[in-house]
Amino acid sequence: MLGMIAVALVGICVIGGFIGLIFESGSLGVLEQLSEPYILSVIQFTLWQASLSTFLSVLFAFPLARALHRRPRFFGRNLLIRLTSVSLIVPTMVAIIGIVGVHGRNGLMNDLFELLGFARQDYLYGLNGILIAHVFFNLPLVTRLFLNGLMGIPSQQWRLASHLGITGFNLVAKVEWPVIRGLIPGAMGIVFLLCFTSFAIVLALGGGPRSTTLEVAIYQAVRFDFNLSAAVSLSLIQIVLCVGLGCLFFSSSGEIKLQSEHRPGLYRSDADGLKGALMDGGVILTAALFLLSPFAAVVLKVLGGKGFAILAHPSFFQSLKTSVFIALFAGGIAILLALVIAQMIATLRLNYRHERTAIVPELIGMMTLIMPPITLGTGLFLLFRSVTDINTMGLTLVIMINALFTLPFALRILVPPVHQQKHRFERLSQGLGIHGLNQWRWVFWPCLRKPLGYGLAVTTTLSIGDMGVIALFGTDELSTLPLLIYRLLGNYRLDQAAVIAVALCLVCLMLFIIIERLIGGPGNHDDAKT
Amino acid sequence: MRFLVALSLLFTGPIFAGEKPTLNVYTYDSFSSEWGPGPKIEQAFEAICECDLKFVSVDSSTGILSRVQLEGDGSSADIVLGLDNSLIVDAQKTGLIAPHGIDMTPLNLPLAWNNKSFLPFDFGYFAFIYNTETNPNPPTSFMQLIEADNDLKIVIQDPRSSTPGLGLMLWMKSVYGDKAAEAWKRLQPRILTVTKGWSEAYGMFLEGEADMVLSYTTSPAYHMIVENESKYQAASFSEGHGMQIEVAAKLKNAPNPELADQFMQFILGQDFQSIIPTGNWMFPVISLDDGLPETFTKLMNPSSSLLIDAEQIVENKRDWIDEFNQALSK
Amino acid sequence: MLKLDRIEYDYPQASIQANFELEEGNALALMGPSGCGKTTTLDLIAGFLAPHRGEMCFNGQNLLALKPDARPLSYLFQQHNLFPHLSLWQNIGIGVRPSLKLSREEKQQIDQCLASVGLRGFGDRRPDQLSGGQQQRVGLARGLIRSLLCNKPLLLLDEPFSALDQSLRTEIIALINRLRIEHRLTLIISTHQIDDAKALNAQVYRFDN
Repeated sequence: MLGMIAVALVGICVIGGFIGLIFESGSLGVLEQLSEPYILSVIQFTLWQASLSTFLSVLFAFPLARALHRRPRFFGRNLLIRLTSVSLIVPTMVAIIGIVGVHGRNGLMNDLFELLGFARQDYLYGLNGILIAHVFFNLPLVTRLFLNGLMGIPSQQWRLASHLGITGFNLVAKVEWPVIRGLIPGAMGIVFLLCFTSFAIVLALGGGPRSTTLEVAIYQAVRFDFNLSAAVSLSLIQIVLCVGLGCLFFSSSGEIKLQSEHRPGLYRSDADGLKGALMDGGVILTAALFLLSPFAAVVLKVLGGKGFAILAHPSFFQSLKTSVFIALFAGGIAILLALVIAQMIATLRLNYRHERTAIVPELIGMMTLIMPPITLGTGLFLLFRSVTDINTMGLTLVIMINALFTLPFALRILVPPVHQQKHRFERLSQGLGIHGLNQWRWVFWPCLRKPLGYGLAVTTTLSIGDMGVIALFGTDELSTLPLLIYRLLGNYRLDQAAVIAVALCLVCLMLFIIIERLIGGPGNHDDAKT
Repeated sequence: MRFLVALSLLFTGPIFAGEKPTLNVYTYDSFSSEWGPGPKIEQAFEAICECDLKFVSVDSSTGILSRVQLEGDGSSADIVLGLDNSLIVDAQKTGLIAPHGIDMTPLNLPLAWNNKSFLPFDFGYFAFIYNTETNPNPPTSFMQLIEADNDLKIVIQDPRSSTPGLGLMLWMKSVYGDKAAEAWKRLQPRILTVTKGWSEAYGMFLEGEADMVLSYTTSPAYHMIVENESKYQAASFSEGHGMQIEVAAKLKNAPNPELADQFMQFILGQDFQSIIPTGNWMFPVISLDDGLPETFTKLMNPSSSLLIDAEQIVENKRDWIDEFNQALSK
Repeated sequence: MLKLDRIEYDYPQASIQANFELEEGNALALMGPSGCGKTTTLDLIAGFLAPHRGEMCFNGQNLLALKPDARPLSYLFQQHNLFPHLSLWQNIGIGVRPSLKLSREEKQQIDQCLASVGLRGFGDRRPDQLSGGQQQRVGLARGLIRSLLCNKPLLLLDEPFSALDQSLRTEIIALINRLRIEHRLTLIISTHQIDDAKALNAQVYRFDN
């Protein structure tokens, strides 16, 4: 029942936002948009950059996952793996500052070129920059999926392989590839969707009409042209494309395994030998350099020391306060919705009569993954503007939309454990008469506190790093840390922006750890991760 | 929902009711920021108005307009400040703008201004700024810029979001006419990136990411006066320079119409205008009692100023932007 | 006496029918190939499924009117009988009082019960520290204590031996036999093996498919 209400709420909000826009714009011009050469080139570019980003992420992830799997004792390996599980929540603005600091004309890479006697290169803006940033965000995600897959290979298989003398390419082809191949469509699906709908990265690094994505075109239609009919039409085009391509990927993917099995003492016959060690070391070091250098660049900027004054500025405290407030509320709402919806999904799945119906709440919960937040935000704003006061609505809407947009992540985290919990203990609890509070205390809470803690940590930190929603509703009074960074960047206060970026990272990290420990309880938290 | 609204109220602090009225001026962020003219103007106006002047900053000039449209009748804006000559017809068409009713005889612009709704508050000329130390021989015409080495990288602004961006598009149009698309295509390899607003572009230039940036002939004055640094200069183009007149307007549904009128009047006064040269780094629209700062006389003076008629802009803006988009999206 | 009077449950492809009587203190073995309805019948008696037709009563009381936890029975599933995050002591105690607020006497009885299935002193351990056979014995101990303290004289066992090897199987069957006689339990078990039925001295109810 609660599940029905939650699903209905989410559905109404999402569809309501759309209707609000259609109502206001009065007309739909999908075909008209599709006949514009510029829009066609935008669609083309969106598809192209998303495909390339996906391809590159998956391509690099395989050797990296393999190297990490082969070298369980490599220095800093655990840190890198830990990083892979939080890469998604690194605030986009922080990553952008870091990437400009590494790959910009005055970045670390160009310093290196110059040191080696080459001329400085402008390679960042445009497709390159977008690809660098997308791989930066998605390589860890895919690596993690692949690594989990590799760790799931039973140790007997490795023993068998070494017993039969299967080495080198044959080992990859016969033992590893079959596992990885099963994971590729699902991994590609996720990465493709994330890159397809990418916003802040394209806005900051895209470099104009040459490399504009649909999501940015929608933002421009609303923000600059106030052409709502174009915004709705473009959103519809985006949704149709996402759904179509998403189905293509996900229909051929198996269930993605979330739980990793840690076997530190795993024996891999091919791990011996100098050549392999050098190769793995090279791969891990390159990846670590690529993934960590942006953070180093941000820290270097901060150590420059000119930006600390911003910490004493009232706008910093105001933004910090607003950020934390928005994040906690949005994260909390998202996780509650996800819990209720996950219960509903599990109940439906376990009932053979309704097994297929379970897809409905799941799809509704995931809907925002392909929805442009700008469209939804504008639509809801227009819908509510006659009902309530505009100034207070901004904050409410930002919280609401952040909750809706982190819901898919919360669902991905909560659905499997809730399903498992229900599958294993529902009848047992029923038979023993364990209900209500007792059920919470002795069954739900002990089984679910870890995923709940992790889920809340993820939704909260995702919301705190959000740039897509706040970009629309932000004002001087309603400013978050990412928006402050964006503004400082816009006013060429790069040193101060870097200081805020580090502060934002620290806040994220602290919130993440505190929430995860407080709710998830002590113990190893790495297992619950995607 | 209601609970959230209540909480958000709690969090944003009490709303001061019954105290001084608040005049809300929507503007672009570099105007209202603490290093822009905003704070000084706020101080000067509050000294005479018995009110609280609040700048609500929006990230770009065209953003001001769409923000007011988005908020509709419920908007709390009294004044919009920071649109320019290329946007006034668009703004007029929203039906949200009221006539200003201000006597415009003190105006001292290079051209006549008769618009009854939009009041100029400053003006300037677009120009590409370069660093004389790293780039001693900048292009001296559009022609040279378009044919320059591909290594010469420029940063420009998006014509949809930024008035300098739109200004450049019109500038190109008035120089190249029907051949503008062709010119954009040839310029394209030198465009490092197209930013959303002026400040991002200028910031990238100062960080050394690009060789030239689209800005104003007055920008070097900032460096000379504030930083005592004369290495940044405006490149003079023989074809002439596009002109921009920035305007303010009062909204039909302004919550404080009298205060808004008072502010509109204030805009043409010495107090406001004397802050403009070293605040917004543009030219004032009236003759200042104390004259212009001396540095302003050293600035590059355009050979001729180019301005496209507002009606013509509105008729063709969409086509021209499409032309720009297409030329640059190849 | 447990009586199933023409109980029927419809699946999309097939319909399950059960019709039998069982005296108190006796044992009944449900037999037949996989998918013939053994587990379904147990689920119907336990109340996890509601029959489409038929009556069911125990000692004159209509079972169908009762919710699963109000029925006078304990159910030992094929697997997942224990909460892995609770200790053995808690796993048994929660079957007596879902709030786990137990009196001193109840605690003593739980200890005795653990002892009677050969797990004396194991109370503070967790299920994952036990073997499969030991886990089944904890489940049995809970059924036993529920029959003593909560008046649940009916014990349903769903293929309880499928995961056990032969020696453990013999051991558990001996244990069940002993407890059944000591506490006058009524037993229904689903199994593939006629040997199990014989060892438990159970009547056989065969599902013909």
